[in-house]
Amino acid sequence: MKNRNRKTYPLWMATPGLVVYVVIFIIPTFASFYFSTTIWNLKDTTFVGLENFITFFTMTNTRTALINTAIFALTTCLAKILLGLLLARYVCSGIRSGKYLKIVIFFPYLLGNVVVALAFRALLEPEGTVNQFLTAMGLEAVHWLTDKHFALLSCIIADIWKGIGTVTIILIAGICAIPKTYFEAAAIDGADPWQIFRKITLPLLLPSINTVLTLCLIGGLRSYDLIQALTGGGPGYSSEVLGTAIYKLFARGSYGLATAGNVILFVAVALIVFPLNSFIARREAEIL
Amino acid sequence: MKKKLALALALSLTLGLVACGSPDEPSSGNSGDKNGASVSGDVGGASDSSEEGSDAAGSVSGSSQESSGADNAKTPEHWNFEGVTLNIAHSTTGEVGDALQAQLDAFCELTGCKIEVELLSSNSEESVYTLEVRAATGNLPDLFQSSIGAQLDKLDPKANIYDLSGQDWIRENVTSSYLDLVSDADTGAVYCIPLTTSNVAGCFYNKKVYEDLQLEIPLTWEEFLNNCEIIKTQTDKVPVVTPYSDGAGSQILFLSQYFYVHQEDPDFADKYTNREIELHDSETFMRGLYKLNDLYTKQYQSDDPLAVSFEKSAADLANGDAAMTFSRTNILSTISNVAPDKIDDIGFFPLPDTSAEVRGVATWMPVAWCMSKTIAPEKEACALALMEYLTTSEAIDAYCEVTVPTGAFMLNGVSLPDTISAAAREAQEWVAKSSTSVMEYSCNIKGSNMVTILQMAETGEYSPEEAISEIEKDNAIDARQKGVAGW
Repeated sequence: MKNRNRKTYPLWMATPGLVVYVVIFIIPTFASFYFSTTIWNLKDTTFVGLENFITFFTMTNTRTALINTAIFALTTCLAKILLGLLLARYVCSGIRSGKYLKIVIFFPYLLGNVVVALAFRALLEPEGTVNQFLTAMGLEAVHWLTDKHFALLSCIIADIWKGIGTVTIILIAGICAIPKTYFEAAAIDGADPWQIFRKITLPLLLPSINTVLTLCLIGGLRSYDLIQALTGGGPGYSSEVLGTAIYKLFARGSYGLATAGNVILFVAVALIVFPLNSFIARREAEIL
Repeated sequence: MKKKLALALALSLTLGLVACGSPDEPSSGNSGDKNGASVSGDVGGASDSSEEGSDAAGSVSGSSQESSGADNAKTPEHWNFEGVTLNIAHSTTGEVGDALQAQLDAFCELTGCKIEVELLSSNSEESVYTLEVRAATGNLPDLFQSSIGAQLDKLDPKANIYDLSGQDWIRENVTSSYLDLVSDADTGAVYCIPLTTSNVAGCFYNKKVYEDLQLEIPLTWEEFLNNCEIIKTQTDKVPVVTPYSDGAGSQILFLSQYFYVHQEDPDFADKYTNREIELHDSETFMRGLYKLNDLYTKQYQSDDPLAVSFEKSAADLANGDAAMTFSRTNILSTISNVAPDKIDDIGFFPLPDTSAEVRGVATWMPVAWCMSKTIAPEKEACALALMEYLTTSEAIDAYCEVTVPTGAFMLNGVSLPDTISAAAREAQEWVAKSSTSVMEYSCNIKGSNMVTILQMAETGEYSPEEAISEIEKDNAIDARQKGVAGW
């Protein structure tokens, strides 16, 4: 019986999907591994071995870009999860405006990154709303986008605002999936809200947090468009991330070198995300 | 009910995806805004100074758009291209963009054809990159805007661009100095016609501020700094407004210095390309960076230069909030847009250097219209007619009805109208007297971080020595990637 069930859907039925996947994902990925070892002008390639990788790592902005990418990915990821948890908990606490809040929180997700960046540029420009507010409060105006101490921070804030909607919605779904009986039982036993959150909500929410963590981290490491539109990686290299550094190379026609940068980014994402994922999955199994 | 709900949800998700999938377009639009006004000159071409000079001089001396050769400047009456639709891509925005549109509209009216315009990114690097990819994949539009000089080679003209040398009008209508730059020296093929006007770089100043303070036009950099000091101490105006948020704005002064480098060593660009010299060995070349450093250390530039846009610099200069700015003549079309009544308050002088005797300007030749080699046969005649039309005085009339030109058209028998501003005229006179085109068009080596490095030099992050070492390092990577021999 079991065997016959398996044979109901022959393997060849997967072919269309597989073909699309191979053509659109697998082949370009392996092609990019090849192009990253060449000097490439879109028509001809000259094989240069690992030279592009060495060049990429010796470029002045690469070190800054690597550090900034790590800072950007980690801070946005953590902030989104912490704030998302608070918001999700608040929205799910049975308040009357819960439904409305869900929509409001999710709304930024519907906007394109560049739209968000343009809105933030309007807010953060020297005479923008934020600085007007600061000066009205008697504080000093800040060059949010052109001061090297604030540029990356501004990008991080914009990204958190943009991304918190998805995180919150996933966490709300996670919280809603926890059976009410646990909370009732804990309440009867006299647990306070913090204990309920720590001992029931958080452990049972781990699968959702795992998903969110992985998504945010990958998104953060790969982030490009928001930063490009907001600061372009500047001033200087102060908000340069791998994405903006690679883009500049593409724009100048150094296609092989830029592809090498992309391969490095790909490997970095894989090296960080896969071990992290399996680590969290193990922890999940231990807790449950 | 549930079905409806699911449908609504699916719809909202799709809309969400559309919203998320769109960043590309605003992105290019955004960079367009950033560099919008710089477009007409940001891409350009190398030129031979003496020839360019004489052409431009000829243009200035003429009184209005008159056609010298009556045959070449008239459009044939038999043009009828009803039912043909041309696809055109360019990256020119602002008033000049409107002027191009007026030319295209006039052609449509004349011939009955249709033209679909695609606006490419105004960021010159992005648009070159877009066209390069399209050329490599055989998807070039029928007509498109391109850079000329060394940058034209990126598009592999032999394989991708229509050869215009067989057209009888080309040599009659387009100046020979321009044709030299867009021709293949071996085969004689001609690939482009000029799209806008040439651009001249130098210092634009507010005459009223100079009059009020009784300042003289500075002949040397030292005198220039003295003027800045007087402006700084005696007024609350910014001596030099520096639009460093703009990619072009942060490079103009540095690139204009090439006039003096070229004066000292006419083969500088070739020697550098062949790796016979280093940039830091040339004191004259280094002075470009020292000048930027002077503006920063002596606090003669804008307070937050990285937040100053090209448009703001034009407005500040016109309104007298700033006394001077280093820019190209295309700033005049922005000024006539933001402060039309102030255009006559603006004057021009070349970037000063060490000697009062040797002064001159760096120029950018007009960017070009090119025709795709793979154009469909039924569109070919129409596209050729349009190319011809664009080189006639009728097309220039249509252009000048929308905006006042700020440089020479590089067309025979077409001269600048009387209405051009005094600063544009001064700039053109300098082109005739002593000028050279900027280095990047006779030497294709330019690293991807040039703008960033200059911005760091302009805000004190790098000393001139650090900046040049970074530029050389960055250029070396670019030269290697381009496969330049010897690197």
